[in-house]
Amino acid sequence: MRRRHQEGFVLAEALVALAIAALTLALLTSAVFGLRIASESRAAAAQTSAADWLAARRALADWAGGITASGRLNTESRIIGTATTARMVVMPEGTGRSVPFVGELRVEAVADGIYALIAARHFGQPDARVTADEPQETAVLRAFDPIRLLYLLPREGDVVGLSWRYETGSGDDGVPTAIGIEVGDRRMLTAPVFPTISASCLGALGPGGLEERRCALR
Amino acid sequence: MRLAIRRRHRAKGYMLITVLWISLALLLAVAAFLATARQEALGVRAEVGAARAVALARSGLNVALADLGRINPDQARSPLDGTPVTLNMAEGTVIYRLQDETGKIDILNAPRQLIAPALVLIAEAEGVDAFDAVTVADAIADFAAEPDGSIGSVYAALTRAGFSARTANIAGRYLTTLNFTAQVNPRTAPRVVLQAIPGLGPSDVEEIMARRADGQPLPRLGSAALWLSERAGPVYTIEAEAILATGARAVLQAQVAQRGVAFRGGLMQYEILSVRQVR
Repeated sequence: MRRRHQEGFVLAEALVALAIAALTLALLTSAVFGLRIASESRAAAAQTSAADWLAARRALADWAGGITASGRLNTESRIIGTATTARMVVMPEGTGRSVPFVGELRVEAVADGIYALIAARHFGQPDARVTADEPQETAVLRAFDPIRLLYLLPREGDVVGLSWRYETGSGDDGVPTAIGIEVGDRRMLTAPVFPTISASCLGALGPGGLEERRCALR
Repeated sequence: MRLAIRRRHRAKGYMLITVLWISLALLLAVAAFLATARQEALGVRAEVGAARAVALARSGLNVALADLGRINPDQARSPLDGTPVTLNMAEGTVIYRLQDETGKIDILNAPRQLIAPALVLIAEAEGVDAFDAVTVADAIADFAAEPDGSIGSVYAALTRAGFSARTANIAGRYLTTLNFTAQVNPRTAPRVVLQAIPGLGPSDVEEIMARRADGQPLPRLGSAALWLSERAGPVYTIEAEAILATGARAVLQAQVAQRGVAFRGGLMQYEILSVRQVR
């Protein structure tokens, strides 16, 4: 009687051991192979961690640093800026790829109440008004509040100074002094746009280009 | 009695194994979680390091601009020939280089006698001979012209001419579109440019390098004087490299054009042509 009881106990223990082994295996599988899936599912929700903002900061700074307009006159087709889309023609240098591309920052509503900032490159496009069919793109930031892009431009009218606007307009004001990202009603990031004179215009006109209005970027 | 005790001991052995299994499972789960957290922390740290390095390099650019704008003869001015200047800051080290664009050969204004020997020296690794170099030198201005009438960079011109991206990048140190004359400034020209000037032998180049380092007047240069002029500016290239104590690095390269004359205690206005992160 006692022996049968003991056998039952051994069987139960063996079953427990097997169950634990299976549990361990499942845990390991989910921990190791599921890491990627886990991080992606987190990305699908709102991303507000430090790494996401650093990525957004880098995307914004790269966009602002890529100004290649050849003068004030043709900034219109080289730079487009609205609250949801910023596009600019970039001539890559030193990257081994000399094909011009349109660098784009775009805000999209990816789900109900979730907004994403997407950085994209449209290769082979020399005009910011045209995009490629298959752009190379990455979602750099997600938020529960609407994301908006802003541009620091001269004040409208005869007023001296600069103001933040949600659109670059017709291009008469030239290249913005800086661009920024706003989430909800909070301004989160800004990046300065440094170039003031077009190098390619200066190359064509010589030192006199420094005084030419059409070589000025803003 | 003895049998019962032995059986109890065997049962205890199973319990121990069970507890060990559970402990092992928990340990593995915690280890996996810690590994993930560590990986994320390392990623953030690297990003923060890169952002700090870029900020430090930007400080280096500002210091270099102030250096470039000095006009007071009592203040030390850094050479404009690409000599590195090192600054030790609290965050790390910044090395900046100032390069005068008149020290480079202008591909739009210089004749083929000047461009071709420079191309042979620059594209040595690609096996460009003197014949090929003359052919490219004749057409290089056309390669630099953009369809809208503006002028592209040296990089764009050379890649269009069929040179590799690496050679085109290197050529940017010796060729320019922003010298605006056919002559080269011997006080700021890199060694490769001086070597390419017809009429300058290796001993002349060494003498120029030695004399300009000491600030002495340059020697008489005979027929080569036709290609040389001690005029600097208005366009300069600044390269600032930041190295943080943690090892993070960033390199920023800016092209600036001096505008007007210095006034009010040496304040100089510079137009910024481009700022790009090289690394």
